[in-house]
Amino acid sequence: MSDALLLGVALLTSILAILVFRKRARGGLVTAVGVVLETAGATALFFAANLAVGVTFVLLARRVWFYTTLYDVTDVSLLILSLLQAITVTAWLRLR
Amino acid sequence: MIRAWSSTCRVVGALAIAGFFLVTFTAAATLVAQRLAVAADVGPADAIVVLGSSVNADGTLTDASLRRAMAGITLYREGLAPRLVFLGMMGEAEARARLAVGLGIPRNAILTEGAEPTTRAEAYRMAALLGRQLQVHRVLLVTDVLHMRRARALFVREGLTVRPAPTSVATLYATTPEGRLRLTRTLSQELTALAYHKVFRYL
Repeated sequence: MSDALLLGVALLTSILAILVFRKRARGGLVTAVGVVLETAGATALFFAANLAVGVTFVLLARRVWFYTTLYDVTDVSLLILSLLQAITVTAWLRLR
Repeated sequence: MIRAWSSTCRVVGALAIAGFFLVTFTAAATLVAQRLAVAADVGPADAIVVLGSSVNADGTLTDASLRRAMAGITLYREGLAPRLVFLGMMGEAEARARLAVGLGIPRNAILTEGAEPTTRAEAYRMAALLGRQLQVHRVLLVTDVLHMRRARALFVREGLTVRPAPTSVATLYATTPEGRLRLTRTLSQELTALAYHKVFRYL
């Protein structure tokens, strides 16, 4: 039930947004989907890089300084930080 | 360079979005979780070993820690073992022991160990304490259902006979999108941990 509800709500607001903005938009919807894919991909790549650096740091810290848990690196805020990094880089590259 | 970055990002992005829909709106995560889960084998043993989880900043038990502790206490009250061992750092083991005593478990039936930061260290310590000092070889192992496969393998490797008593089994049957996302996160953590243990030959 919640699956259909959430997907339905997102679909409805997407259709509304298309109807409202389609005449004012400067580019095509396909181009916009490309930017979304690019941002999503950049988010995934930043997330992977952040995880790799975080895990390396934790393992190094365990050997050299103190014990710390790997679960710290899997905090959901790291995904949001990765999204912010991705949005920034994608926007920056498009401004060039 | 920028074009290659954009192309790579678009491919990875398509895969990431497809992956998101797959794990959030289908039963993929629950199917994988059910394959990873270890079935319960609850029966008489020499000791009940409740693995550490975590404590809150104020020293109280987290939900996961409390669930494990209560499972251990229930098994003891069912008369399945004469000893109840609580593990957990930063006062977790002692907090669990206080809870157990408050619920009527005799203090002399409880052992606490609070210096082991990892499951591997817990298995090593239990083999030394239970296996070699107290001649306890068969344990009822209490931990989260998705953690059980790795925990059991580590305890068996240390020479103990393990009867799994998994907790949080309901997480295997996530029915909401958010529940499936949480399950995916836990699965990712556990599969990564299993791979890490295999690579470094801890399993």
